[in-house]
Amino acid sequence: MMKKHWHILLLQVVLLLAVLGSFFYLKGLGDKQVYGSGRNRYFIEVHNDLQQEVISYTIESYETQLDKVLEELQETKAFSYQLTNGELSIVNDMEAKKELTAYWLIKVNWDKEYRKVQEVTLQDMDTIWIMYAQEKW
Amino acid sequence: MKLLDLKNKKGMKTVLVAVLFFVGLIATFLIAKEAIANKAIFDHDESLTMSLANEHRMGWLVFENHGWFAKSFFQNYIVTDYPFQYKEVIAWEVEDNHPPLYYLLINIISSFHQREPLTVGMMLELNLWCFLINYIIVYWFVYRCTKSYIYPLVISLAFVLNPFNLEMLIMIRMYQLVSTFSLLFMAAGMSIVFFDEPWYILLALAIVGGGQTHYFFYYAMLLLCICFAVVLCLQKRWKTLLLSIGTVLAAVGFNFLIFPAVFTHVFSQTAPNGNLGREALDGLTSIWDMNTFRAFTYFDLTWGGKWIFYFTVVLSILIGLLFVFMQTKKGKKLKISETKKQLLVIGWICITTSCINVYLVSQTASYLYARYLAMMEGIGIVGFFLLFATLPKHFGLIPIILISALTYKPTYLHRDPNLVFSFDYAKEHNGPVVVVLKEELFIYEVCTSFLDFMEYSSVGITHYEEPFPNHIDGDFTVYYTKDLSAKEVETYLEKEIDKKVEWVEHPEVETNYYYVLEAKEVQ
Repeated sequence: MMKKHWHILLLQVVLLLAVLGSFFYLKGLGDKQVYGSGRNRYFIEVHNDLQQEVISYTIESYETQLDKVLEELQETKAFSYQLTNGELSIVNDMEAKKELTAYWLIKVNWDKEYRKVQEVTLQDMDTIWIMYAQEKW
Repeated sequence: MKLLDLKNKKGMKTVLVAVLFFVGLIATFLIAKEAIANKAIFDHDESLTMSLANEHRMGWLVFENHGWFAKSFFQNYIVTDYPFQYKEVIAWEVEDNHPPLYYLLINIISSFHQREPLTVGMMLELNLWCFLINYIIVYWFVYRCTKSYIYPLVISLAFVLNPFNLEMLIMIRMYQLVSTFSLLFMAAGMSIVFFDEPWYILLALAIVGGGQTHYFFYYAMLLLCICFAVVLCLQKRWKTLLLSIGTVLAAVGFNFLIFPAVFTHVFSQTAPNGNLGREALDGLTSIWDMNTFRAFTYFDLTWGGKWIFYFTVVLSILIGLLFVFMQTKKGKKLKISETKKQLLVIGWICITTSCINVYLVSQTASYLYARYLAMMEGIGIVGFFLLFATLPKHFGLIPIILISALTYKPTYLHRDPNLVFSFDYAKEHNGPVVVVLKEELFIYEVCTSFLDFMEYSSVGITHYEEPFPNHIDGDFTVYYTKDLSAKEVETYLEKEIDKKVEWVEHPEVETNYYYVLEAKEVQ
């Protein structure tokens, strides 16, 4: 039977090799995922120590260098993103700024833990968004 | 090269079969593309699919009972967090209650598309491939059985156009994939048993793939294996029987070895995500306490209404009688050729196992969803149509075309041009949206509209009976659950929002759970 159906066996061996080849190729892609590849997601949490409030914001970035991401955060629309219907708004009060200490926690997707990367005071930032809606509800 | 010699009759037929195959393949591709382009409604499990494949942190979005949420909250949902990170996906599936293959493949596809905007086409890419592969399997199998040039095309297109198959195509779940593996298993098994061909590697691959996609695949495997074993025993082909049993056991063993969580999912009383496996086992052990009504409800769900189902049954019996009448001459014994006998056996094995599967699923599935039949439904449909191929002189084409026409549901391919996709509406009206739910929060109701909510600038969620004191700048959109009336929602929001608005209803916008209202600010 094997001799008679050699083409069926050959076809299946090719199929099996294709499956195994795809498996190892895709596994290799997974193994190659190191810091800096793919789309990175940064979760930024701004902590308001006084009110024990956590304001979170998430952006996606293709940047690999953390410093550049921080620059990007301040320069790009991620922080000037308009949400004007009660849920987010700008703190303009300078007095309030002095009282608040904020720091950013940035999680990079291959890190399992949140990592405190930079501490800044609110004065260092042009704008900061806080979630009024949390208080309102 | 005799096969390709056009002067030779056999060569002509081969070329004709090949040409018709490609014609059918192109038609299948176009049908699939059209069905995918028409997908407007999402089931709540579909967002779960994308989330479980891409987000190791969550299945549903987690949020407070009510409040405002930023656009990014929904934009980041179901996006690939971990490209090609299979361990995360498998770990999550161990916590959930499905085998991981489908989610791994979705993760791979999402990882390849991670820098592109999320689209329905991308989410259904895997289903599209499986749909095409299903066509190829059915075409090949029907050709193998009938050796006809016309039946493979007609049956595979009838299969492709079947409403159940189209439903599985546009559903972002694993059922199209698992139907591919069960069809592959059936075709490989039938070829081993009836055509004495050594398709053992394909058989093993189908078991590994199917078993790693959905546990109900094992029903299909078991039912078909019993039939195959009976046929092999009757034919006294012990060597083939032993080889087949060895292949099946090795493949099943391999499945358990690479994903041992199957034992927890199926047998554990304290599985991480409920006791669905345990409930299924309990249902199976009380199999004699059959729930016929529930089983028939499944027929109702899958055949476009039970009357069409009954009609097809009656029609198939009539065709059978006609077949007997035409094959029999007065006073002579019924004469059926060996090929047609074989075709009848294959057809009835497919139909019988498919019907038994309906009972098994109706006994064991936790929810009454037609999609749980996907593992055997395709096999049943093919077997049913194969019976008609036993009729002489291509008479069988008439009932196949007739049944396909009767069960055909135009909604999949012919979209009402007046209807609007809710996610397209959201792109155009991308201001804030208020989601009004009745009584309590159903997280899945919110998550299911992820494609819409990622377009609105912000999403405010509230209950109809809760206060919603708020100021909303400019025009805004309202999504309200279908158990509320527009008047109720308007009255409620007019009390809560400190401005005058003019309400415009949008019945043309399609969503699964909501009606849509537009609130225009009155100066």
